[in-house]
Amino acid sequence: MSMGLALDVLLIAALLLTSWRLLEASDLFQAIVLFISFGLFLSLVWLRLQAPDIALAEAAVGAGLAGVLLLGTFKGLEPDFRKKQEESKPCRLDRPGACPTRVHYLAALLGVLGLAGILTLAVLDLPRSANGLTELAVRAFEPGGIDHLVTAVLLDFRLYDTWLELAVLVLALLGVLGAGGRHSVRGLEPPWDPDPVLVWLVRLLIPVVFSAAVYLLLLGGHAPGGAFQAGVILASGLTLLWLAGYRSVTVLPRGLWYGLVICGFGSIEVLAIFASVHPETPVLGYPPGFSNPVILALESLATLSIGVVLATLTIETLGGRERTPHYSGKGDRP
Amino acid sequence: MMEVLGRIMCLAGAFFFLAGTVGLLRFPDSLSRLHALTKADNLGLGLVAVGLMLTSDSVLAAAKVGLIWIVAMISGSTICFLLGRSMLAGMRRRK
Amino acid sequence: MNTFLLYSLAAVVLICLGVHGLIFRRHLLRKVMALNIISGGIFLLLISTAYRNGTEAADPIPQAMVLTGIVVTVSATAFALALIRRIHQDNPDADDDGDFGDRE
Repeated sequence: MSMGLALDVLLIAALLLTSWRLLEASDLFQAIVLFISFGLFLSLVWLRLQAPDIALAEAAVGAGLAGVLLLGTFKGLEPDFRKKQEESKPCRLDRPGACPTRVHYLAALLGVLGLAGILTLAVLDLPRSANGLTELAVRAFEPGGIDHLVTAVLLDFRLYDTWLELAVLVLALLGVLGAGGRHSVRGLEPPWDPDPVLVWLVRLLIPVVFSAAVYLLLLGGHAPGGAFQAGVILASGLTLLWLAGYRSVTVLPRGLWYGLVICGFGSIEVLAIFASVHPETPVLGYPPGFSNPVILALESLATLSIGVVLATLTIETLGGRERTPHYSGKGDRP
Repeated sequence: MMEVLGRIMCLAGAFFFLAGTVGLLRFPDSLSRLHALTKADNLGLGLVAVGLMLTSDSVLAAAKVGLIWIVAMISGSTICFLLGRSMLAGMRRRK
Repeated sequence: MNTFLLYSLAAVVLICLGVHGLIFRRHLLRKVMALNIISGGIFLLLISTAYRNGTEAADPIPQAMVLTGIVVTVSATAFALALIRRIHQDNPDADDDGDFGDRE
């Protein structure tokens, strides 16, 4: 067994073990921590499969941001996290026949096994080696454009996907704010008084965080990186600033905040309108000869958008105190 | 020569990570586990970073690894302190 | 057994683990985590097919799709968590065991 195969087996074993334990564990806090480590193992798997951009994104989002969102929600649900939740309580619905019986569970188990069988057959049926779509994509790129293939695909070949991905972020923001019953996060204070040590750390790290975001953005042209990873780092920097009590997304005037949220999606919209009017530009493509500066502009606006949207999502999920004259210590909702 | 030294450093770092994990599993109390994990992991990370710096291609890459190490060490230690303080507050609340 | 097959089968196991957890676990937060595990399994399947060439560079198009997929997954997770908080707020008389998902 070669070294690479041994590493693969170990990584997969760690991945499956953490995912099994996080679904089985009776302690929900333990499950969330296992989820964060699941994200980190998945990030290592991406590195092993030669996908460094996805490894960056998974470590930042899957392990970092999703973990923070889960912990924040968990804190809102269960103030005392040491209590163990048991899964084997009887169902408490009152109507007869409303609780799932043993037959239902057996049918569901058979369904899952059937799914496993079908997927395994499908996987074994795939050709073991194929050429993939690389040549097709490379042929469609503009010459002298971006060097790094994944960024080029995201911003040139599949610009439509990136455009709609930014729209999905805005929609999720609308959903989260709507479910919380507020229009924006303007005026929210951190849910607890900032620890002076945290303030010191934030003051030390914020220049590093913001320059790392800019660095990743500019690096996306020729190395793993790009708008999304830079946006996530920007979002975490903005959230840290808010947690330390400094000015962040919560003090933006409403028009500016709207503008920042929509500028990623809107800039590609402007490009699409321009491309439909200008005679030499292909559909959802770039004006010939101008692709590099336009791509950089689009990426920068997308980074700003992603950063502000994710920061607002995280601040809303972590909860906050309103800046009212009398505060009860928890978020007041009308 | 540099390659061999770099690999030895990485292996030493891995050994310290392993020691930290053993501490995580064997210590009885949350605070002592936190202590073992942070100390051993910081040292392990430093050794792995030195090993990577020795086997890196250019001075710029080595400088980047050094910067990553410094940032990870600072934030790791601060987070250890914050975690410890909140654990202590939790323990005092429960008394 | 080459790398592609190993990771594809692992992805299938992850997907089925996630579906099992989604159906059989009752706490809503655990269902959200099961959904994320399913997404991780699907992305693993996609990327392992992108890796098939072995020695050459990995196929960039599935990688771009997975990057978009990660963004969509985190957006959906954030929305689901906001809905869970709202459910919890509107049913304050649910038991403390977090079983409010079963209340009418």
